[in-house]
Amino acid sequence: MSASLEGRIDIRHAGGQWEIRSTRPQLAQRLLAGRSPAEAAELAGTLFSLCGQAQRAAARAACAAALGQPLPDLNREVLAELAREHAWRLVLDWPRELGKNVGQNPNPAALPRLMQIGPQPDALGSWLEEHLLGEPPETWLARDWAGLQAWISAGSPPIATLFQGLAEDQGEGSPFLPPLSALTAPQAAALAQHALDTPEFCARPEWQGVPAETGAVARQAGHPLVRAWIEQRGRGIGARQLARLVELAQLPQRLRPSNPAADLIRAWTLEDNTGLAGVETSRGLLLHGVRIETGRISQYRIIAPTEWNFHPAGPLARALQALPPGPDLELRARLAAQALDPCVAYGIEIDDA
Amino acid sequence: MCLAIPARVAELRANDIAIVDLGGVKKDISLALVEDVQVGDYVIVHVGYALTRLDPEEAEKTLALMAEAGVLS
Repeated sequence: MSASLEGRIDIRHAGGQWEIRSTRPQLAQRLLAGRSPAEAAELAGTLFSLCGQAQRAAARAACAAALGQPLPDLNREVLAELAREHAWRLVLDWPRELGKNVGQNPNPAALPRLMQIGPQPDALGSWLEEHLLGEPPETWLARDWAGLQAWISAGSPPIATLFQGLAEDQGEGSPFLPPLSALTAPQAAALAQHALDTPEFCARPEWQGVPAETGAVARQAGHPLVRAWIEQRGRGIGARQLARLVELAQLPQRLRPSNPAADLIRAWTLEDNTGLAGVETSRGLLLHGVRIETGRISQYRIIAPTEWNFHPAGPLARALQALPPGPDLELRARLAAQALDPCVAYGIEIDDA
Repeated sequence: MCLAIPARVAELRANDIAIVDLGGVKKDISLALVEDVQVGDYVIVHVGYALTRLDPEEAEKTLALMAEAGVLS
């Protein structure tokens, strides 16, 4: 029963066509309706394992907005969670999928220390230097395109080798979902309206009528290194992993107390006691929409980043369609899915008999 | 948005491997990321790794909440 509760994502290739099927249940209404705002924040933080801090912050902000209250202060644990999730993908998951082909092993031994660091900028900076970058984050971030190429071809630290030989033409790809800082109030109102009126929208969200990509690459597409990568090597796995690494390298700076994370969380007060809040998480934009009547939640919707990126016609679908046929199709599909990082288990089936 | 369903550690094996019981389903997981886990403890699992250890009281509370909300039947 438990596994089916979480749902999963099944990716299948048959007759030359890819199919993405998600069985992730939409639980927000079932779990949170009838609760008080305080209970909802506590529950959201407890029930969701990977992004509990972001879920709690989103619930608190959405409820405050619905009640016409100011945005609560952001708990810096949300940033620590963002760092952990990014690091996990880069240190463990990516090497696990790709590493055996290039002689790299995942390094789970590095992660327990990271789990203890929390929102301490200096400790996070040292960890990044030791386990991912081979130099202080600010030094690495100051590299230009040629400097990045030199870092990649030197192949030390080990993660650099994973970027070697990644060049993919993915065509247009899906458009990027605008980062939270760029969302306008009417756009936020329209998203909340869709989510509250049409629960199915939360399972297959669209931006201006089409699926869109969210996540580090959507947020960091304007960063010089990420922009250069997209221009030179395309918008595939390499761009997504590099954006993740760039964003992670920026986090020690963003964790300094003088540097409030204003672009990480926003909330809007809408008509009819409704609030919408967004939090930028490792996987992308997390949205909570809530309607409160006489102190109790009457409607609750969550649009999670996985639903954007694994939309049946969304970013993963585009990436899969661009894969060349061949014996390593399954591995390539797995790497494409891992780069987009669903928050539940996924399976890939190649059925080309 | 994966659910944080507490899994009870049923058995410890060599090399940081444990067998957990997730609502009656037994699974092999790695304990490489958590310290001092004993049989009977509850952990939160993601793709084969225990992420965090919960104290049993907290875990029972979460399980009760999930049951109450109709997520666990």
